[in-house]
Amino acid sequence: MKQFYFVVLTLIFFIVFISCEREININIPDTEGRLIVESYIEDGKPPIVILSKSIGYFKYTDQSTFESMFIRGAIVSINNGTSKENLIEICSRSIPDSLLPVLASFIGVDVNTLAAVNFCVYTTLNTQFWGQEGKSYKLSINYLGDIYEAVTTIKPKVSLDSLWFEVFADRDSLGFIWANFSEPAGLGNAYRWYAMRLGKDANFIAPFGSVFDDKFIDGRNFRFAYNRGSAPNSTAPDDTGSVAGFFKKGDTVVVKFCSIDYPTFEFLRSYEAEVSNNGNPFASPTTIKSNISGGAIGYWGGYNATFDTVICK
Amino acid sequence: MKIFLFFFIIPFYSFLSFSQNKFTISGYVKDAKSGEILIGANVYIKEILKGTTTNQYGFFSITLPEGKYTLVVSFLGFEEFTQKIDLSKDQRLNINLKDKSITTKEVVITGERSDKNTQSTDMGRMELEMEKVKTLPAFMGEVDVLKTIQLLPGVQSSGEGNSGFYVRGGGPDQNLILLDEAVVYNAAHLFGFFSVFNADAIKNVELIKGGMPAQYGGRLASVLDISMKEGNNQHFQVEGGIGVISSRLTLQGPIKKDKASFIVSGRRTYADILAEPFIPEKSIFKGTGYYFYDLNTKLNYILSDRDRLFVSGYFGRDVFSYNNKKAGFKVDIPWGNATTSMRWNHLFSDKLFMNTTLVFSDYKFSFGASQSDFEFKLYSGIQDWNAKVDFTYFPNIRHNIKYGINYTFHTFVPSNASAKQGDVEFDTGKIKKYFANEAAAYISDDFDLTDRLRINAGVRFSYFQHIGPFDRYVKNEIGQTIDTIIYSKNQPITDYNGWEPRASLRFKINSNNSIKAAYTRNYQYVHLASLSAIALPTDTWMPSTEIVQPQVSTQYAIGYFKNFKDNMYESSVELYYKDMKNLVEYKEGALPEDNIKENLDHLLTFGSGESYGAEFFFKKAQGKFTGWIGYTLSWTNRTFLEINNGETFPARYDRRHDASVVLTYNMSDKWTVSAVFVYGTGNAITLPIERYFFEGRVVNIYSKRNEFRMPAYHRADISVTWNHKKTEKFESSFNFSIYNVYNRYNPYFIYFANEGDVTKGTFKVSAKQVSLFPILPSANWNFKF
Repeated sequence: MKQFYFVVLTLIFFIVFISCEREININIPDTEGRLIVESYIEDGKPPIVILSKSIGYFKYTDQSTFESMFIRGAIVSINNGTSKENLIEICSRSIPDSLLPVLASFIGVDVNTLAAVNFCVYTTLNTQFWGQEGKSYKLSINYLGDIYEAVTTIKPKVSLDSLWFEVFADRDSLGFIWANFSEPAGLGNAYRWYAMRLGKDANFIAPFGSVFDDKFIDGRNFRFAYNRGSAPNSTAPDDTGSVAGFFKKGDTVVVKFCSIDYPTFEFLRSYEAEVSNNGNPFASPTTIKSNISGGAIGYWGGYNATFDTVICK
Repeated sequence: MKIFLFFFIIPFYSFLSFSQNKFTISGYVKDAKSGEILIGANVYIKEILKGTTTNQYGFFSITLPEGKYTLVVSFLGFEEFTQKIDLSKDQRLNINLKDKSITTKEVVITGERSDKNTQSTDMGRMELEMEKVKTLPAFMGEVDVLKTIQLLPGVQSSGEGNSGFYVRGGGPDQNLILLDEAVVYNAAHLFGFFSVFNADAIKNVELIKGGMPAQYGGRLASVLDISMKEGNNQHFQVEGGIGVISSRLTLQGPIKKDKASFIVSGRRTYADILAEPFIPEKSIFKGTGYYFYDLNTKLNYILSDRDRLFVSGYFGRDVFSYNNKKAGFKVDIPWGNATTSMRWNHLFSDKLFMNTTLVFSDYKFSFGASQSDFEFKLYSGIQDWNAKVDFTYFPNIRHNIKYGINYTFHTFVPSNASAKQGDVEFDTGKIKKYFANEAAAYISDDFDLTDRLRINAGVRFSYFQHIGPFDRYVKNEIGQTIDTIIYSKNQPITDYNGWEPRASLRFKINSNNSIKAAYTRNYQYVHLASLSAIALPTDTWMPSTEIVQPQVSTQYAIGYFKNFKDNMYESSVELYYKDMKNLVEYKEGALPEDNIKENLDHLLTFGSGESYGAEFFFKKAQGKFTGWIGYTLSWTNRTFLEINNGETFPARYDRRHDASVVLTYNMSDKWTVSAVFVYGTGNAITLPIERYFFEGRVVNIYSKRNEFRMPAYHRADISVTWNHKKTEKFESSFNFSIYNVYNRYNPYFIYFANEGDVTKGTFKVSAKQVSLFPILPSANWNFKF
């Protein structure tokens, strides 16, 4: 569908051979920041809650503005069905550098960024409150007296049958990662795909369109492919130009395939649609489907991952 | 059946009440040179200062007490016809009007001076003469009636270079566009930059934006009634033109002189053909191209003094192919309309005119994409079979009674998709079609109550039924299908009906001044749902279903009409208020792929709208210098429970000010100069007002729906038309237009560019405005022999 819009846009520009573009000033009033919740819990891992706030659209973002967007001092707790635990706030500047890689792997931000920016998360070291398959977790946030809540469930693991690399058309050494998948029968399953090239990517990266549900594929055996996602705002040579989006012969790629619950899927799908629509004046604004009560934007999502390694050859 | 009998009985019943020494004069008014019938010609009885106009088939009928009268027939651009009549028996009079330009050497300054403006009960009704339209500046040299009607007050364009139009706060799907009585569902080529109407094949264009008479229905906002030429029944004629982007050719002539004629008219763009040699064989884009074409044909046959037969057809397609060899990505998108209508005119008597129409109308869109072994297809469309019978009864000069029935069988195919990967077919559900019956019956009378007060009162009854086969998906609370209700063929699923009273009245203050008022209630049973901010051919038509209720509007209008200087100048002020219910929009957050394996109506949400405003119009219809000024002040808003948190918001095309100036100066037989100026308040848009970072990416928070405005739109165009000296055998003209003379950068869209990296502290957002067309000259050469 995205390709469809791409074609439509191409077509419009195709005939509009003499269009013109200029920068304009738009007077948008400054509005107050809204609470943004990026939070998840994965099987066998600690819950991660990142709280931030929105800023004015045209506000220039330097490092201190960015850091000031993190919300500090909120009371965040997790209920695992039997008991409740308050999360602790950890900021990247206040922990030893040796622990940064651990934090980085949990929150999916690269170590260099964590070292450069004071990145704050709420989590717990109490393993009783780390993710367990089949359990539901309730998140509560008390920020300036307002309460925000959400519940998520960690769904059973679902693994892919097999994975391989295939060169695309006549692109020489470039291609995509393919997978055979037997989707379990019964509607309501949803998935998210991540991949990481060992030695090249700092973290698992979700390409656009990383989430899908079983509406069209319920109980089917089929194969599918994913292109390579790039880290946000990446200007790396292989993320720009004609090699962007491709894996390459010689890459060793770890694929993280996650089972997610339906509200998590709905949020991530609307979020990805909005991010990919960003700047497309023909698409109407997407409404983000948050699963958090109280007017916060974001989600509290349960993940259960399986991992596979593919050597591209 | 009872209704049908009732319709036939009316005329005989009325005979009883008017059966004293009265006689009828009736006939057809035609162009003497080509034999084309003239629509809307004035037929006037001098002695009693009363008259009528010819109908869509050029027919008129006047019944008067026995006596001596002077009959005057006039039509713009033709010589006035005058004849003394001794009315002592019923008379048939076929009148051939002579083209003024042939008989007089000088440009005639005193033309038809009509007081139709102040005398008729018509409100918000406008006609365009194709010959005038052709001298106006044309965008890329393509004469386009839809763009010309946008210059009328109360009609707004939907954007730069776009032929889509909005009438009094109604959406583009609320305009009933008829081509020889066949509904045209998508009147746009190339996303609206051009309309499907080839000006060479068109005779007459009439727009009704308020006070819709009872014979029209099925849409809320307006009727655009376009009549094709019949074809010259005197001699064979070739007409054509070469323009910047397309060429046209029209052939017409008699099949049997005075009895039967034909016309065939075609148009095709040729950017693809011109570009082809310049695309290298090795280019990865080889095979990418775009073109559109239109073909109009019409045959007519005068079977007898009482019977005429018309067959007309339209076929048009847009074809776009995109090929990217490097990415192995290939797309084909054809779309277009086909319509056929067959009409039979029959005169039961000199007072009772009947027209029977059979129409087939079809709109199709398909999209096929493939990349290596992945194939994706998307198609949608709508198809109508329509039959109707319309009667016009002219009992005496004070009355003009119309009644008729109308039936349509609709087949809707909204967004069906199929996808496969190699041999594995994805489950995109069954092909979804919606079948529906639509029917209507109406009666109206346009009559003089007193000398000052004339009333056009009518009522329309409409009925709509959604029938099987159909699969209704039953949803659980998270929107998953848990059950399917299967309806069998022809099984009634749901139905709706409505009474649609229509009335307009004219109170004559004196011969140059009148006040008019109108009340109109309309039902619309078919809906166009659009996901995008611009009109795309993917927008799909939907019937009313259990979930989608028919749209209903009520419109009130009042106006003051005044003519000056012996009808040299016409002016009017109209105020209107329109209330609309059950309008259709996609739910917030609906995505294009949601259409698949789903009942489309589950994705829709419903609300209401209102529009009100004032329209000012000043026109000079005759003389060397003609033109008009139109200005509209209006407000249009929408209220949907599930959109914008239920708060009322301005419609995208809520336009506070909308003005147009159209001027034509006939310098001489050879030279005509025209200029157009338009101004419109910017479209209402939704903009991002805040942003946040999520998974390291930038995400927007949007303002309330349509809270912001684009900069105002304004533009001036000029054109010069040079007519080559006419000989009996050959004439030609050259039209040179300049679009956007002062090179205004009008906003087409605004987008936001993100630069830099958030975590490195270099992130910046800027707003960019994209304008489409700068100053743009074009030329067009036309010939006729």
